[in-house]
Amino acid sequence: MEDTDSSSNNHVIEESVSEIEEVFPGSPTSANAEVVIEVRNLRKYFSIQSKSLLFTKTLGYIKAVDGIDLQLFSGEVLGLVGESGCGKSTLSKTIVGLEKPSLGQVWYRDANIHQPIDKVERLQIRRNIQMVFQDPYTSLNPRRLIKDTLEEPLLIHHPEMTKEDRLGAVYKILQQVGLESYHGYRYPHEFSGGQRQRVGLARALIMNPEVILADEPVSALDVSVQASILNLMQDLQSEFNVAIIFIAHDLSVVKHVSNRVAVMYLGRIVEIGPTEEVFDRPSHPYTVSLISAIPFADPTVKKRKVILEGDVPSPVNLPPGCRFSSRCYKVQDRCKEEDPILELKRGNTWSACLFPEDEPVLFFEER
Amino acid sequence: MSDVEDESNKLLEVVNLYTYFRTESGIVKALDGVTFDVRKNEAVAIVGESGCGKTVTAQSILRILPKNGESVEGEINYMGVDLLKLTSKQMRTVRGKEIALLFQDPLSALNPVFTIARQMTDVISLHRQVDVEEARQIAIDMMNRVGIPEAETRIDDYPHQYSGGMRQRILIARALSLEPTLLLADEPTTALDVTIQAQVLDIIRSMQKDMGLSLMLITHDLGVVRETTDRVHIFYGGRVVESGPTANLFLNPKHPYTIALLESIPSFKKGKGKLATIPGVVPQLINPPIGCRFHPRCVYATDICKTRPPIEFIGDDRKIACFHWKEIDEQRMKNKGSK
Repeated sequence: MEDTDSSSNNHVIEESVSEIEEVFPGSPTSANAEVVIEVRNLRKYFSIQSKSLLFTKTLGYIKAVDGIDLQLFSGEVLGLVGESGCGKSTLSKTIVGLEKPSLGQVWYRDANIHQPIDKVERLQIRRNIQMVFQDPYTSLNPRRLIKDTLEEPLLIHHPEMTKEDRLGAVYKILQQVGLESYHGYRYPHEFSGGQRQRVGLARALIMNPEVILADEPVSALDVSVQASILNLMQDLQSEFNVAIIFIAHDLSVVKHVSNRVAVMYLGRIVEIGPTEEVFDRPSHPYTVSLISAIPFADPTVKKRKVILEGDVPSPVNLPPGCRFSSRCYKVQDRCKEEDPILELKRGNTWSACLFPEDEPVLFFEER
Repeated sequence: MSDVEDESNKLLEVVNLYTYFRTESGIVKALDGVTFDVRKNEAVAIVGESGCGKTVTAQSILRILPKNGESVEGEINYMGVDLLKLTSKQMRTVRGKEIALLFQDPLSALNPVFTIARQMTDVISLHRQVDVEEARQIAIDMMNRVGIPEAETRIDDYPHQYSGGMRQRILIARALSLEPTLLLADEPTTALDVTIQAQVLDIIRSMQKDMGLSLMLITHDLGVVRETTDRVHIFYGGRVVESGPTANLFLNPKHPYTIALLESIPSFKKGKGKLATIPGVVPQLINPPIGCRFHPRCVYATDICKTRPPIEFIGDDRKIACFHWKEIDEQRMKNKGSK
């Protein structure tokens, strides 16, 4: 079991710094894009403890995020997909600063998110990285008017604004997300699910952030409502030129909204690349099986059928070698010994597999 | 398709069913004249968005409605017997033995303090004339058939020792161990991840074929419907708006609601353009729109839509409840031709 006390931490960090120079999987989708978020060798372990009267014993670690390097470029939408327990939510919480990493760092431009040098920098980080949650009902205070909820960040970040200015900003953002100013004088329970998600977007956008983390923003909604929220997100994304990390388990949704996509499995990114490339010709067998598992409503879509055996292994006892080897349909002996790293496989797609795939999974018939 | 309207082919027929709920704010008309059928050996889907009456339909069939709900009118003919007319004692022999139900959340459908063996054999010995040892053997066989490894030893485990996908397999095994004729599955894979969902759907499908039973799959996921079922009934606002063979209906939807619904899902084929949306919200069933329930949100609606549209047979084993479907269809064909 890996030790996470401070002395051994330093050792690992030094080791990884030398690697960082060359390995940053994925490249920007547009030429003048800048790096806004940089995740360096991020690890987040949760300890499993048994507590007796006097002693607390650590039995092991849940390796929720286990070595992730990632760059997010300005104005892009990065889709993050993977099954439950793969660490997508832990990764996003660590990026916004809700969780402290066990190892590694997250940088917002020149600022370390978890160690801001002063209050000004901390406020600047907070202002520029906002979050949209899955369930907008539990993330809005039921006792406060929507206008008060939306106004609060302005009070903290822009104390110079007058009351009129603040209200003006609230009305403006409500209109931008497709609501009316009178909606500000309602409580969260008076809204439908789709409208509440619009409020959730308004709350994130009112600070005019550079990065938004959207954790399953449409999975609680019905399809017809989901479509309107996705349209709205696309409009707002180009209007505000904000970079979005879009977490979802629905691959069709991710395909629709994102420029790049990262596939996670058991705490690691196993494949990352431009959306079209990854979905047209996935390279990692896990991506292949994920795409093959999507049920399609369109009868003209035909697919290669890959049904995975078994369940996702526990992130406490990882299989030796490649983490996917226990479920992989093309597993070889080598896979159980070697832990593959992310490498550039084809075009701009990086994947961590010793025997990558090179065939399409989906076929589209003409009507 | 000559045998389509053959009465003997029908296993379950719901005719003009009205189910109401009494609530503090008034009467909720959850089902408002629902008519559909399930045939022998086929997989049928009931599809719709939240609040359209999918789950209430299953509860009405099994007569397990919450206390404030009641099926006030209509017939539920199962193999020629109207289930609504049975005594509650007779009904108990139908539930499980004839019509089995599979729930959405497998953890809350299993009792955490009893072993799987206890929970499976209880059900088996209640409905089948077997002793304890035989019941256990039936349970183990069934668990093997749904792909639970080491069923002989794992049967003595508790529900929390299984993963979500495995728990759903146990519920399938338990439901099928009574050899029912009809399996009602209410969102059986909604709580599962895609790769596990694919496994579970694969099992449900192959068990349905092997055991020659009929499946009524209730879901909101149009993809699951397309890949699992032969026929589909589209629900909206407590009524059936369109029915037909799944592939045919998804390729050529005719009801404006079905058309809009299919266009609003992001597809792998479509580009990054705007998704089609349906304006407005799902109707409140306390005070539903008069006439066609979809007319306030429908782009084709006219004055006649304020009366209830009749259900029309339109060939190819398809039914539709819309006044304007012909014009809409012609217009869509023209648009397709000109592209």
